[in-house]
Amino acid sequence: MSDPRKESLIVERFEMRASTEPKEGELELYSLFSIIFGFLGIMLKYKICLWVSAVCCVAYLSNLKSKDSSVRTILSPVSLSLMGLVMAYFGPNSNLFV
Amino acid sequence: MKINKLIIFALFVLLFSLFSLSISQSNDVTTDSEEFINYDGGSEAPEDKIPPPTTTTTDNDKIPSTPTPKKPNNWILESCFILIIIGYIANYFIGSKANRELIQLWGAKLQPVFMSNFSKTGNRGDFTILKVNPSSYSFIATGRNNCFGLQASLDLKKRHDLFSILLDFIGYGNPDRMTLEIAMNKENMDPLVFALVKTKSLKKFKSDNSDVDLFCSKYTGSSINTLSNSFGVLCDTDILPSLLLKQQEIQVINQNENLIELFHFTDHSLINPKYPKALKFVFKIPKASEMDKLVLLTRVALHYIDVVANLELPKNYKAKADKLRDKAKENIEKQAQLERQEEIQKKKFEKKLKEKEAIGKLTPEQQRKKDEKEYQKQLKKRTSGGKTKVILG
Repeated sequence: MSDPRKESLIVERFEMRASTEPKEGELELYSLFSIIFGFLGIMLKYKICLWVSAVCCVAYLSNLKSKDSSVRTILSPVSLSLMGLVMAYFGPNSNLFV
Repeated sequence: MKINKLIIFALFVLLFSLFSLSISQSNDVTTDSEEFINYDGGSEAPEDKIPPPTTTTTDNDKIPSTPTPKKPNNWILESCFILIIIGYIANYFIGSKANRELIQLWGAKLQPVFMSNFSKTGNRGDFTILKVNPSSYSFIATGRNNCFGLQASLDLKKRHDLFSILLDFIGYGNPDRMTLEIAMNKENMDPLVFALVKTKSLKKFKSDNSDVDLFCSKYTGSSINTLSNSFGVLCDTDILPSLLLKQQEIQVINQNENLIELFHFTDHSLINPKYPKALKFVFKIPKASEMDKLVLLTRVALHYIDVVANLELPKNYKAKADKLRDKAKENIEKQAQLERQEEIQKKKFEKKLKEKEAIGKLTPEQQRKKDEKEYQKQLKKRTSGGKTKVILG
């Protein structure tokens, strides 16, 4: 059988898919849960919600794609959960958190 | 690997039980504190713990302004969640490593196959596999007869994600998958749409792919009698199964029934508009010990590049396929025209509405002037060219 390879047919920067798309639903869910629990924790003064938010935030960060790491999208769940935890343990009203 | 998962699962269950315990404890504490809100029996115990109020308040304001007693913090909740986070991070590294090892094995097994078929493998030509995230990798090869190139997407189980592992335990996880997408040369492919899908997912596949939905129907002819029942064949012309599924190929498909998910050959691919003629194969990645099966299936996939490129449909079938495509094209054009007309009508209607609104905003005197103007315009129209109609009794 003849060699199928042909250097003249090399396509520079060949890309069949514009971006490989691992299902983003889960990724967005983690971010969404992180934000929701962060808000709930801060508004209702529940430490549990804040911790759940922090766990979701870690899951979100670990599932990030290397390509789409825009700072704004990453920062919102991270800052919210961190801010909540800081408020709950070091803030002036930390004794109000259940 | 399984033992590792079991340990993580056990750890998670333990943490969850601790967590629920801490919730129940915190609930008990809150009810106690509420019970003592209005208690002013002069007991000494709460006063020890409550810090004295900083501002002087009136009698009415006393109850709401009293600060809630600070509960003894036993740090169960915090330690629980910190353990979960540490467990998650540890699992991230363990899972990522497991996936990386699987990809390395895949690369070692399949490198000779791709090297012997493509002159450039990987982005720089040195068989590099791109990491998209810890569970998905991508590989590109180009420089082969009859095709522009190939992209292999490897979607592995999310072993780095603790929650996905838990889902996998319950049975909702996805298996490790390899998707091969091949862009065919434009001139080297007759018009055809052909798909070999698992019977279970036939309906979903049809609804997801517009080309299959437009042109294909389920094939039930005699040329695939030996094919396993778990597969269904969809094609636009009845001759395709007999041309594409020879006895040899059917045998390989039957032998690796549990690994094959999809064969999809089309000249109307939606993957990339730049390459409308494409072949797509989806295989499950087997255990490390059975990786040779995947090598065989990849060889079959690459073999199909030449088969499809050299396929010549008989004239009557080609005419039928062309007719189908012309019809579809006509339908699409008709629909586009209808949409354009609708848009024009919508714009006209909006314009009229705006005019009406503008008239409604005018003062009565302006309206009278406008009516007069219109009346004079109409009169002019009637008397234009000196022709007047005289109606006699």
